[in-house]
Amino acid sequence: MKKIYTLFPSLILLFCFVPFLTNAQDLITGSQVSGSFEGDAQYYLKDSKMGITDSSLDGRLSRMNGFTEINYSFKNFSAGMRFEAYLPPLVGFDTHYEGYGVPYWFLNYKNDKLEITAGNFYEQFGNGMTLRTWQEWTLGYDNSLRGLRVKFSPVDGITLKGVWGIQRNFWEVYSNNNRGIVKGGDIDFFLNDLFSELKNAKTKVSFGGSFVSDYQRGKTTDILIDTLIYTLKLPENVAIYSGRLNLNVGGVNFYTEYAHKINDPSSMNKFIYKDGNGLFTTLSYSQKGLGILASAKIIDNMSYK
Amino acid sequence: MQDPGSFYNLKICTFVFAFIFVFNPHFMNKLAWFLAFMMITGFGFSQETTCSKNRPLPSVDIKDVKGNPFNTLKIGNDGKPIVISFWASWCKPCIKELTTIEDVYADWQEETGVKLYAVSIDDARSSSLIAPLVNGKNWDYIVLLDQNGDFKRAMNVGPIPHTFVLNGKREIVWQHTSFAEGSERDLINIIKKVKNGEEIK
Repeated sequence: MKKIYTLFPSLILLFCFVPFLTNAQDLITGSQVSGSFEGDAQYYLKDSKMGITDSSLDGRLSRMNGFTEINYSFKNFSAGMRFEAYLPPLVGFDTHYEGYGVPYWFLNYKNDKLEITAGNFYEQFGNGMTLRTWQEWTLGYDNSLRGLRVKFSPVDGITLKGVWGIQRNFWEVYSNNNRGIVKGGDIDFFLNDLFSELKNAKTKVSFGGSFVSDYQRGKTTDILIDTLIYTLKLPENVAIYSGRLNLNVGGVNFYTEYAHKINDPSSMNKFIYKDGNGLFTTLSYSQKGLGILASAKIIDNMSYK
Repeated sequence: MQDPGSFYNLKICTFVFAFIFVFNPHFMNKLAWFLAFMMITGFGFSQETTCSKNRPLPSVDIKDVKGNPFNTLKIGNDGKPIVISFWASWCKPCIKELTTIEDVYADWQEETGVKLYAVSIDDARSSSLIAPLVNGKNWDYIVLLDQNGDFKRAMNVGPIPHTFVLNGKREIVWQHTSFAEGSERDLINIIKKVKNGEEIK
């Protein structure tokens, strides 16, 4: 009797998988796996004239940075992960990188109108003044967001993006509010796609705006004034918003973006409440054989970490 | 000719059957699991796999040279070969490669109908100089802006220059990094092979 109880449920469960597996043929032929691998290793030599001795680099003269990334895609789904190892990190790379693990992985679904990403992702709003998470292996720069991202395009010409997550900080695990939670949204209009009459017009216009907020509970910092230590309670919500415009008329291209940051006293600006402002404008003219570019940037208290 | 998949299935099933028998004392349970396993792997292996070993172009939202939205699925050439070259304004070998190809681009287009997409990975700090730079150098390519490296990551590009050749079905059939004088000759040979429908090893 006991044997039948275990037998039937097992068979039923397995039969449930059959309809899925009859598409095993599609799963095999439609799947794509790709990846990349990079390893950089260096061996450093002692040089007494430069003061490089055994104790420099704490005696660890051979160092290596390496990563391997694998990506999988099947129809509208894709997934990937990257394994990194810094054993120990090359000279010039932050020592907090030492170690190994999988700091980057994602699951993604994308179709014509919607894209959803769970896990780690890199996103930029406008020219990056409000939000830019990016990776540059050779510079040791990686501030990917881990959380959720949704990109939605209700009609051609309008794109809405929303992100919610925490940024990578070397190998530090997020716990106990040790860093802020980043929430942001972006909207973009491209009039030539939105209005079909403008599709082949010589003048192209796109504009948009974004808003990003960083929330960190219980943010405090200690400072020393005279001989006393003061604990400053820093604002938990720091926000930045921006508006942008991109205009093309024939060979002339005009781009401008203005960003405004509020509520951000930090060690970078010596703990003041002054708002931050950033303006970025470029104007260019080009035709076959000639290109002219003029650009202006104003940055005031825009450090937003 | 017997389908090779079924041989694999037979070998694996025999192995699994033996394994289950050794470790599981309940026979009926073993049998049930074994039958299920055979069914599952049977479906997986019994059909002939006709997959293409070439990777299709991924769909990524980037920008065209004027800064307007552009999706990579719009990259196409009516069934003729396509070259995608990742470059940046600060990458000297990339500029050298694209300038060298520009000298012979008209001939290449006449022979093979190839279209070259030059994807710049300059970020927002320098991407506004790309259009004037390209026009100043008189390049005839279609230039795209990948400001945050989204297309670069999707294509597994590391150091640049990194050049891809795609066939008429917009699948990646060949790729190469770095540039040395004369390597554009290898590139045109690959493009010619793709145009003739030959397989690239």
